[in-house]
Amino acid sequence: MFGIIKNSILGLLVLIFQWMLGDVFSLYGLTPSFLAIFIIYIGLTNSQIQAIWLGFFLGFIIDALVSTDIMGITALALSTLGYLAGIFHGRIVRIPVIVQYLLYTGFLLVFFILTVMISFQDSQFSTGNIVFLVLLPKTLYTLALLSGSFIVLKVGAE
Amino acid sequence: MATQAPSISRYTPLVNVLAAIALSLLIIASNGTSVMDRTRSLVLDGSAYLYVPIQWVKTIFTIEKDYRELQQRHIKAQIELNKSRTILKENQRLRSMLGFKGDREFNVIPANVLSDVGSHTMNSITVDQGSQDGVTLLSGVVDAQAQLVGKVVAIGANTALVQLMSDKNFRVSVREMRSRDVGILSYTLKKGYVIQDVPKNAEVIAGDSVVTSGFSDIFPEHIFVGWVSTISPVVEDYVKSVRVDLAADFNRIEEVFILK
Repeated sequence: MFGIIKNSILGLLVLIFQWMLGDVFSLYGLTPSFLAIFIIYIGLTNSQIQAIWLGFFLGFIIDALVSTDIMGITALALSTLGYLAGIFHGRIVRIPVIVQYLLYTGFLLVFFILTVMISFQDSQFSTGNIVFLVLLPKTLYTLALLSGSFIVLKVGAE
Repeated sequence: MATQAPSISRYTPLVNVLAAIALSLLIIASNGTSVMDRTRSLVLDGSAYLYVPIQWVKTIFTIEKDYRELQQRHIKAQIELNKSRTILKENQRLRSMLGFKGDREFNVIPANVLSDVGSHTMNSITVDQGSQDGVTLLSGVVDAQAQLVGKVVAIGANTALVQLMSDKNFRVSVREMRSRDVGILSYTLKKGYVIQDVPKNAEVIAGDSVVTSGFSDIFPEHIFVGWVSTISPVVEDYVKSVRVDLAADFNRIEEVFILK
């Protein structure tokens, strides 16, 4: 129970950070998703179910706060991300480091495919533009921040 | 040896993620309903409690500088206003002679920016004025220099979410001041802000001013939008696209005015 409360408070702090300071980290209009990093972290180190529901509620709040598009997409994407990351809970340390980072890339790709591609579906942008100018750069940028924070937090290390 | 049936608890995460996905889809399907709008306004109002004190502290440090700037602007504006009054009276007299209808009247509601969120997919700001202050959905929003900023897309009792012009879903009908050509301005990933489908014979040149056309109920006409930067050559369909540099600086925006 204490773990759930602690992670919920931590999640709200990450949400506030994303909401208020996300723009500070914006590079050429690309804002990384700290919430995605947090949900992957919870899924890998705490519990899959916590990651799913934290992802859902934090995604819903951030959608309500900033979305000018369809509300609910981030909730859908973050809960899916929590499920995927949670599959490797307790097992991530037994996976070679290179495969770990391939997995993280896959997780982030799933998250950004859900958020970016759905969000852009009715726009006039071509799929190529969306993939190469938004989806991949956003994924790589978030992956770089995830790598840094996971090294500091020793996630995936025995 | 008999094999054991897999335990039900093995499927708990799967059941949970399916429940979360189902709820998310329900939320997506409920977009625009009164329940969803109420929930959203609750979250927006809740967020204001968090941001208002931070904004208040920031204001203390900038208030004197802002006051001096405003004094200078006020004097300049007063001179311009005197000139404009004379022109307005003349214009009204000529319009009445020609039988034109009167312009739409509107008031402004000043609002402080509480938070801003920008990305390639969405761009919005939260402001500290809501339905209790008279803000209505789809009201136009301008900055302190009366330059177009965006429109209100969600409102709480004391807060409102403003969709910025840099949002991919934002469209506004604009007029090029010199040639009087009209087009729809939107943001594109590759070209930035572009007026699409301008007739190929339109005499638009770089540096021309772009203002709102007044064709929509959201924005009155003559709100300054920006300047023409480049014009693409005519390739197909006998139209060209005109790139625009926006006047409003979304990175520095601290207060806005909501048109009522």
